Amino acid sequence: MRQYQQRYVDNLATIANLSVVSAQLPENVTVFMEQRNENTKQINALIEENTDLLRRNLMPVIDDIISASEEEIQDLDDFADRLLQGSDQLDLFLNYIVRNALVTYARKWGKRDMLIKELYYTGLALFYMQDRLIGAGLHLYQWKMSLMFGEAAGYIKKYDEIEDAQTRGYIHRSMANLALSYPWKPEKEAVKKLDIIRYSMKILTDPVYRAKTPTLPWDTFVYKSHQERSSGTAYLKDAADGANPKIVGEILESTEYVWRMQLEADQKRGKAPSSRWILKYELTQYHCGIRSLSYLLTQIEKCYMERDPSDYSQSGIENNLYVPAIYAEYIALDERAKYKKKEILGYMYRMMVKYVKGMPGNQRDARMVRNLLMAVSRFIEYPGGISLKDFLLELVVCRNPDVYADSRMVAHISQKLMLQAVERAPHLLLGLLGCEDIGQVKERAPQLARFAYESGMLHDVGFISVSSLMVQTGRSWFEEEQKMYESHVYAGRNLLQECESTKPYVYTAFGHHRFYNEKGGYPEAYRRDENPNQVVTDMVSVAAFLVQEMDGSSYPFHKEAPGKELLASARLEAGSRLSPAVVGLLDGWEEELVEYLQNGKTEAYEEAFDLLRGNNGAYAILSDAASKPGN
Amino acid sequence: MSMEEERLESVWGSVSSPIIVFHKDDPLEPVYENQEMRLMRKGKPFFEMLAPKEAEALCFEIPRRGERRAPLFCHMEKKVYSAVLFDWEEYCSCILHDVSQYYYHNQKELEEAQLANRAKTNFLSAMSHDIRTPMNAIVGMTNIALMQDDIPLKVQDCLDKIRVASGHMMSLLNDVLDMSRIESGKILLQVEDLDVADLLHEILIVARPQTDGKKQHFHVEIGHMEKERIQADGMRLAQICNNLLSNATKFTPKGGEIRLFLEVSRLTYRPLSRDAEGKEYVLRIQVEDDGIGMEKEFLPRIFQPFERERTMTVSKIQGTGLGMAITQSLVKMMGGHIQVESQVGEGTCFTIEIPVDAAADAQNLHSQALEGKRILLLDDDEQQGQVLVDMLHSLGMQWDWARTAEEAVDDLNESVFLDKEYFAFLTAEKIQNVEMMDFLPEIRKRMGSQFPMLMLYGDDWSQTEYLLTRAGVDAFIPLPLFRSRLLAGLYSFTEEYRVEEARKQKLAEVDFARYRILLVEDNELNREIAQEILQLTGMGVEHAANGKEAVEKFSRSEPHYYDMILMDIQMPVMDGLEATRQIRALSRPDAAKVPIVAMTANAFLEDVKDSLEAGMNAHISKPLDMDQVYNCIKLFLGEETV
Repeated sequence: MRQYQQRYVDNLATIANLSVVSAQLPENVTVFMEQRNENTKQINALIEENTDLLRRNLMPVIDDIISASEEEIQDLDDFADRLLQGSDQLDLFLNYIVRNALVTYARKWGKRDMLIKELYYTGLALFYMQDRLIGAGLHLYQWKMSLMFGEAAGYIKKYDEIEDAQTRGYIHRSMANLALSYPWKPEKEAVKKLDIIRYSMKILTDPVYRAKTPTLPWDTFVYKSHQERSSGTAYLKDAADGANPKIVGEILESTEYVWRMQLEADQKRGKAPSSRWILKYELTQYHCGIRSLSYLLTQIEKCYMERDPSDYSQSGIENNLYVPAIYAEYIALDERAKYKKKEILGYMYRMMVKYVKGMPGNQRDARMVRNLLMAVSRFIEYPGGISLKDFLLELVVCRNPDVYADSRMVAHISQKLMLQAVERAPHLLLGLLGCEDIGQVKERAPQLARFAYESGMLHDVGFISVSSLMVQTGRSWFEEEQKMYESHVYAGRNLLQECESTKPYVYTAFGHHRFYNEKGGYPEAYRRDENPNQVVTDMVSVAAFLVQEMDGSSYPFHKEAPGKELLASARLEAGSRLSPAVVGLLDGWEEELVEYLQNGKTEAYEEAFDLLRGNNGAYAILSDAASKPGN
Repeated sequence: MSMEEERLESVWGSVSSPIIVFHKDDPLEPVYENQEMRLMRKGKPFFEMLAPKEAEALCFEIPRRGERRAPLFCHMEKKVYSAVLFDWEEYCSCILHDVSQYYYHNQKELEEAQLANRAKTNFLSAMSHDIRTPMNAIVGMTNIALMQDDIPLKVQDCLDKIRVASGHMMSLLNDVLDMSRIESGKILLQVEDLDVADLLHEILIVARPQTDGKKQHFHVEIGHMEKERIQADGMRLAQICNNLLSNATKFTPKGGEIRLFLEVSRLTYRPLSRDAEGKEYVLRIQVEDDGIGMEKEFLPRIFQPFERERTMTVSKIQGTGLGMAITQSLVKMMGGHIQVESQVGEGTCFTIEIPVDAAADAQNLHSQALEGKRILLLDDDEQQGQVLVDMLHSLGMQWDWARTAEEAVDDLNESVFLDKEYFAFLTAEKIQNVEMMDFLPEIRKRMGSQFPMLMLYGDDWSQTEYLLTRAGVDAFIPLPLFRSRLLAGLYSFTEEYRVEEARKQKLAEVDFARYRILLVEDNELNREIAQEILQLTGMGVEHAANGKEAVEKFSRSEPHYYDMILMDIQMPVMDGLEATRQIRALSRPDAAKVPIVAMTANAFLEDVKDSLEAGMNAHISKPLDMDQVYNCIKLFLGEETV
């Protein structure tokens, strides 16, 4: 690696350390805030330095990659390796850009082995980029990933001309990974996926190919292919009775294979098989018609009962969070089961609350968040039981203290705006929460204020699934990153739209970045006239605008702006970006607002940490519910 | 007498006027005539007593059950009869009334009126010549500007539009003339092979700016195109369509909807007009708007000259009131018919049906070059995709139709494993959920620089052409979709096309420098334009200001000094026709052979006929069209070189 590359990588590591909230939650939030401000300054300086390093050293090479020397190309290759090492994604997007440039270089100069390798790695970067968008339900990179893997895999036709064993390995890997770009749904895609896996496996198990390149890890390749094919429960679940028997057979075969290999491996290690593998096996058995739903549910319950509620290891987290998530997913398949198992799932949710709140140390563990999100995405609400809304407010949003703190401030300002509207412009609120006249608006002021507050708290809930981006970006953003950042509104919408308790907040989560006049902002898919709670979204938009403009600490692309100037800029945006009616509601309490904008964050962080420590904080709903059997 | 004759005798026998009855299916053989008729024809066959044209007209009308409303006169000996046809059971009865007195009385007035009309036509014709001279300058200068190198894309686009629009303006100038020409029966249709796609292109160039100017939504729909190349008078068809579209634009408010529909289908009914007899196809044109509409009472008068509805004058909409009359006359001349439906406040719909013949389709040879080749098609519009697939099928091509970018990539990937080879990638302009400016360069990289990538493009692509070309697009197929356009687009990437182009290139490299041409033109500006165009070929150009000067120059020159003469027709001192006659009459070896090509602004059939009769070899119309000039020169001079 070149000196600037090493420096860049070092800076990234420093930025990651500075931006992360330490595992040990701070006792004194004021000290934490001061430290955070100090860190932010350092981070900003490093970001500037990194951006400059790239602009001066990397971009000229990338822009004219075909003229690069072999030495430069080798350094770029090393640099790209360092930026993305397996799941260690130091700088995924930069890795992608460098890899893409290397593809161009290899293509231009006809360096076939290099082209195959770089196509594989570019495809891999795209896979990880696509993976980050799962929560948002977007598929921005799928076609390109397929294009890269597909081209590399196509070199199987010239296998004998390629002598390098590693390059041959990239061809096999690409072919196997090509299957990743096909989803399991709809069936047409599943058929394609299985076709490519079958084609790949035929080669991987062909003694002639094995003899041609004996040094390749053939059995690992085969195992990985079976693993991918065994993940077809998504297809089986949707296909139900109409499943294609050939596909069912292949998925079953691969599941058996993976299960057998896992058992052998666990036996060697002297370990019991993990609940994830057991469940995967049982799910396939059920979907392939070997076992009944009641048998499956009993097996899941059995897995759950074997959990240790104080185990916070990976398997412990899976048993306590993943297993209930799967349980909810499968009882949802049958209305009777959903009704009959209400008590059990309610129990699992209550235990989940206790488990999450009781986690010692680093409560923002990535595995914890991932499994928590699985539970959220499969959440079932029962009348009188724990609602998804409370679950999110009390348990999920605080997993990212920065998002929580901002949301808390937005919630506070939105609530104030709502109360201002009740007093000064009640006509704006007609129709909201069923208010038919001004009298009802006044009467329902507390409910309206609560609605505005919760809308603020949940407006950025989608960030939970893309938050890793915020921590790890140690330079100015690329366009792709802006797109990914914007995907949080889709992720938010997807999280909120499944349950009754969260549906009222969907439009605000989706549309709070779209301009009032619909001529700017994002997403374009948001339709203001379809939003029954337009005024609440407008309030959250105004509040979010003020908070984001004020606080540059979490969002490197925003500048700090003093409070009063900030109000003036909000007024300038009235009618275009922001609702003029809502901006008008800022009049009359400017001092209080500015004071809150300047100091409110401390209180907000305090609340976040309080929740992360397992205290009730501002909420006692879940804790109360958790203590009441029958919920 | 047969029973049938007896029955007919019982019906018609007592009528005092001459009557002859025909079976509708056999108009040549009378089945009955009364005593008066027998006395009148004195044993001669009925049709032999009539002038041939009158006999033909009568024969034509009999099967049509006397639908004709205009009187049908029959001259027999010195008398004139009006023939009235009656539809009766399976027969058509023809009753002749002696109208000799009335006819000869009115004939005099008619002749006087015709004389006056002819004077009007001549006046208008002369005036139109004067108006068209400056138009020549506009068209000519535009052509010269277009030939300059490195014209900015936008300027070229504007010049193209000026060229086409000014060409159309020339034909609009003719509109005023047309009515009088129609009235005097002088208009002759120039039926030639015509590409419907070209016709539409010409129509849109004029119509689109009009609808855009009023921010109207202009939709073009193409129905079933049984044939895309037909035999018709393209200029007149464009005139008809633009008349209708211009009206639709005028009488539709800002933001309104205007729809143009074109279709060529098999003719399934027997056309009424004799001009349409034997035609196999029908060109159907529909222009519909949601404008102000017309009163029911006005509709029967809409096609009468100078008729305008009251609302038009109230709303100060300009117009001569000739447009619809010309339109109907032209449609009738083509053997077609026009219908109108309208409702006040709801809009108007004109439907025109014109029987046409199919033209020879040279492109079929091109499709052979594409047979069996496979296209990767990316289009998420089911309807458009299906049309494309049908067209590819008709070209004998194979295809894989992807509806998403992902599917397109899948197809590319699969093609490697299945040893399928794509000849080209054809994509819609926009595909849901993918940014084409990202997608296309990746496909280009993957498939290499030689792989043809074509894009269907609905709007004017000059604005985005640069970006799309940079993204990897090689060619654009304009929408609405025509098989001929698709074929031409795809064919241009075949080996056969490359060979053909190389041959054309060889042709284009003909060295004209050794040739000398005599340009005979009185108008200085026109001469300058023609000279510039001709000099671009590298040939020597000399000029004469009128016919007399041309004859003198030719006479004084050495034999074979001039290789060609380009001759204007209307010139002072001596016109081109006379000059040609005099040159041809000279007794020198090259006088009969030197190619003389007429140049005239009045490119009517009768002018062409006159110039050929005077001894000219060919005719090119003014304003001079570059391609036409080069082709003409090549025709007479180039062949020997090549």
